[in-house]
Amino acid sequence: MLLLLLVPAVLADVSVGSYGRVQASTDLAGGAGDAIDVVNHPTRLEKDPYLELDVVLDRQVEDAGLFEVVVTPALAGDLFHYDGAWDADLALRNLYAEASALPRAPGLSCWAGSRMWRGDDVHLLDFWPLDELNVVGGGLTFRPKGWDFGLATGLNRLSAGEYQVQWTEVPEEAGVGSEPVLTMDRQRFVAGGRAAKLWGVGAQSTLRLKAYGELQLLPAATRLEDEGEITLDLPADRGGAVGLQLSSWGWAHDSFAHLFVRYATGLSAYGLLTVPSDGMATDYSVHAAREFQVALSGNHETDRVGLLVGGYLRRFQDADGVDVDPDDRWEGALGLRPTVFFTDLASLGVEVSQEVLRPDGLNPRDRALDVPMVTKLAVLPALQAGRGSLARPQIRVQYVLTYLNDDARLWFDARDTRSQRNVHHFLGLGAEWWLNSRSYR
Amino acid sequence: MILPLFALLACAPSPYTADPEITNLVDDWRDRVIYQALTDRFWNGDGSNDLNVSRDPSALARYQGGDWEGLIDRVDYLDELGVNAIWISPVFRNVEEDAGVSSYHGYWPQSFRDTNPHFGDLAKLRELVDVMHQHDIAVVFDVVVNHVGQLFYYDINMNGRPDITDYYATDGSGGMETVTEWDPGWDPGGIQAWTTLGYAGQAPIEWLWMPELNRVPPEPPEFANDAWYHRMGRVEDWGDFDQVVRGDFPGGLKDLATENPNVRNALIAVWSDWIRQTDADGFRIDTVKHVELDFWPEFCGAIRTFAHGIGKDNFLVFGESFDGDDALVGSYTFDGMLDSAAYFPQKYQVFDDVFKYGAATRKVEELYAQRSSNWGGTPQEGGIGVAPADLPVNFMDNHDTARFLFDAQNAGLPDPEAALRGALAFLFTTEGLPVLYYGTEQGFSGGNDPANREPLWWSGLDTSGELFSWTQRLIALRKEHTALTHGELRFAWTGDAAGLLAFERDDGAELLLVAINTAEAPVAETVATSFAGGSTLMDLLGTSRSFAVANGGTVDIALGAREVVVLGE
Repeated sequence: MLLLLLVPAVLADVSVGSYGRVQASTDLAGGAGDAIDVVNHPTRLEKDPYLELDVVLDRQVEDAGLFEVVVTPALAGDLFHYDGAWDADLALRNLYAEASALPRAPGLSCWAGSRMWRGDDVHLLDFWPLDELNVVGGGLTFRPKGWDFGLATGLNRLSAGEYQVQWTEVPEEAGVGSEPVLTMDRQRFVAGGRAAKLWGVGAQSTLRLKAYGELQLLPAATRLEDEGEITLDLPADRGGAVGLQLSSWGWAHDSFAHLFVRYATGLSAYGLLTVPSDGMATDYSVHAAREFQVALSGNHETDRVGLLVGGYLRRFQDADGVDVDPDDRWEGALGLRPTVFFTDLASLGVEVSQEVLRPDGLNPRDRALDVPMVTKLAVLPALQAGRGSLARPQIRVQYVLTYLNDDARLWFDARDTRSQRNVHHFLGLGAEWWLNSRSYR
Repeated sequence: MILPLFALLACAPSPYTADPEITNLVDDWRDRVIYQALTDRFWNGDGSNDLNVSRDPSALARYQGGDWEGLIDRVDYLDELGVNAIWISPVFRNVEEDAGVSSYHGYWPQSFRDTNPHFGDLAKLRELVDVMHQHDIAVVFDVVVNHVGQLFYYDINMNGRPDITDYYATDGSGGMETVTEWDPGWDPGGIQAWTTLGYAGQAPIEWLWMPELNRVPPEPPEFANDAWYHRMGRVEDWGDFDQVVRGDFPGGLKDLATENPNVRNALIAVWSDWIRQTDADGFRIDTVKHVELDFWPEFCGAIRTFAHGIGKDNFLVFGESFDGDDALVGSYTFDGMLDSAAYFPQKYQVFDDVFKYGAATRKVEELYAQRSSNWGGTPQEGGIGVAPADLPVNFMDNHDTARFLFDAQNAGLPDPEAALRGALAFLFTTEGLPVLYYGTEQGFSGGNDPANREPLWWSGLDTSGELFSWTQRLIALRKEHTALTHGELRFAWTGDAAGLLAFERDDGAELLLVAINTAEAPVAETVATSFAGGSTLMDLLGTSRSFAVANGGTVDIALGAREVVVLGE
């Protein structure tokens, strides 16, 4: 272990970074604070603890480019000091090497490995609405002046649900007992590409128009059912997405605005790390699924005040062809966070947000076409490292008042605490930071 | 609010998300032919509700994937066959599984108000009814009022958990007795708490909480009331009517105390609501004889009143009394009770005995002669306008019996399908409301439950087969000739052995003569008819055969083995 730490220190520059968030919370009724949401991408205030640690090893080779190795372990789950359980969910997110500044190829870089390859997010919602490919593979980036091209390809084989992989216990050949054998194996191929044109606007601002496209392919496979007595043929499947993003930034400190539009089909409508578990067609394909979404994200600030905005509207139809289907839906969220910066250290933010869900089908609890809505009002006094809405680290108290309409209460089981009243409280003391992070900048 | 963009979300919802407009599709149930489809076995139209579905086609005791979307998708098959009513499996949510068997059939209610998620949601059910109506197909729901599924156990030893335990028998013999708290046998004093030390009063019941199997207290929640159940244990002596009425149905189906006014009102409320919510056209009621007789006038009357009140006339209520006793079956059709009953006596005495086992054709006439006294002779008030005795619900097999072909094959008949063709001809030409069990038209030959519940898609829903064509032709004939639907039935010939069965159907405007040879050998008889002498009768089934009517109205009928003719001028 010591050797592993020393070797890179000798051969390369090492830098570290991190994104993280943690908080203690209460619902003011003796329980833990809980995020109460009805959409896929709600505001981020009540999110659970999460940590990414970036370790970046750089090696500059004279006249031959810069090589970087990026390692990002991530941890999630309750903290030991909270639940007393000596465990955590660990994942290795980034694990790749990238070469850039190559001779005779200015602006070109290439990478290989496991990478969170993604564009701009809607910060208030912790959501990447256009381009987020988390793959094991490789890619190229080419940035001639005024342009930005990127290509990423990769593979995944999700373990959930015996959708892409199946292990089956069989009698051990040379002994007693059983051993697992791989009886179904189908990797998903994904490729995504972006092309962006940038224009300077005035002295400091930049305007960018980005186009994005994505393709996912999944081969056919046969799954064993009923302890191997039955075989189920899963057809080849596919998905794709196209989208546009119009962005501008630079007109004021940390200020930006993004508008996203994306249309996706099939596998891409479900997401790269999702196994479609329902809503399939009768032949177990999902290529008929459709998703359309628009999103916006922005920040504008002066020395004294700032305003963060984030929102999205999404239309999703699964692949089962059922018209009146609660799985098919409109959904959306919009959040506004004005903040006053008292000093370089102290700020007070207020966040107001609303989530709306309109499924196409009936809620079985009341057999009605419900429209669950959640409205939140949050107050966020904070100490932070600098002025600005995005200055971090930030140590903050956050009080969130959540109001559920009656349809939103019916979205949860009657025994669920979330369904039992219209108004909920969340009081938290926590911190959030991004320091030299590869994922959050 | 802050999201004006979400005004988009208020776009017009599907019509099936709201209560339907109530329609009156059925003018006269005598004009209808019911197709009994097990929803799980007809067609899988929606893969998203394939929950716990077995991919093993031989695992017929488990869900196979059929659903309401499948019925919608393949309504063309029903159209081509010609049926104009459909009886679907119970629509409500069930206990998921018991003793390794799934509730694909639908008769294990857990919630009387929620739909079975394997079949679809309420909107899909409304769509099903609407689509069927667009195709002039009436929809009959299957109703359970007698019991709920395996939702509680008797805590006989009062230890708070369900046990199957050996005790020293209470009869003092010193032997051991196995007691299952899931489904204990009948106790005339009600199931008692006891251990080896002796009795301890009425056994408490414990509601189960096994959400993974949907064994949770019933819905609506008022049904989770200990006093709403008889708590007498499982029927052991089917000849003891008290057990039949108050005992649990085997399989742990807990018997509702349907003499309790609160239970009655709750059942009336939930079943009325299904009509309002879906625009269904009729009810087939399960296990009628397991409910006390005086339940039926109150329940049926309330259902009719409710249906009429929301604009639904001619709402059909027929029931299942699984018994060959004609007097018993008919007893549920008097004085405000059922509009009709499944004609089990005919299933046994005619379709089984006569058409499969070679009994005398006179049995048909003898059975029919009983109906005028055993069955209600006047239409129910506010009912369908036809007397029960004139509209028995005819069937040759169903989901609870072996299929006709199974028995016919086991009986060693030389040509079982010929026997089936004769039986089908009788089904569609005799008086009453014919019910065709799905798959009969495809020559399915499954034995007893669950072998008789084959997925229809095994057949590919083929419409080119000989049996399909024969059934199609008979249904078309019935729909074309009101004598077969509204006409009086007069037997023209029955005998003391298998052979000729001939009867006339006469509605005043048309006279038809149906002749069926139930024997494996040719028959030739001179039959007295109501036709005028000198006329010539043609076979309406499309053969080239013709028969001359002699002076005096007699017709010489000569038929080959299992041959059928339907004769008219």
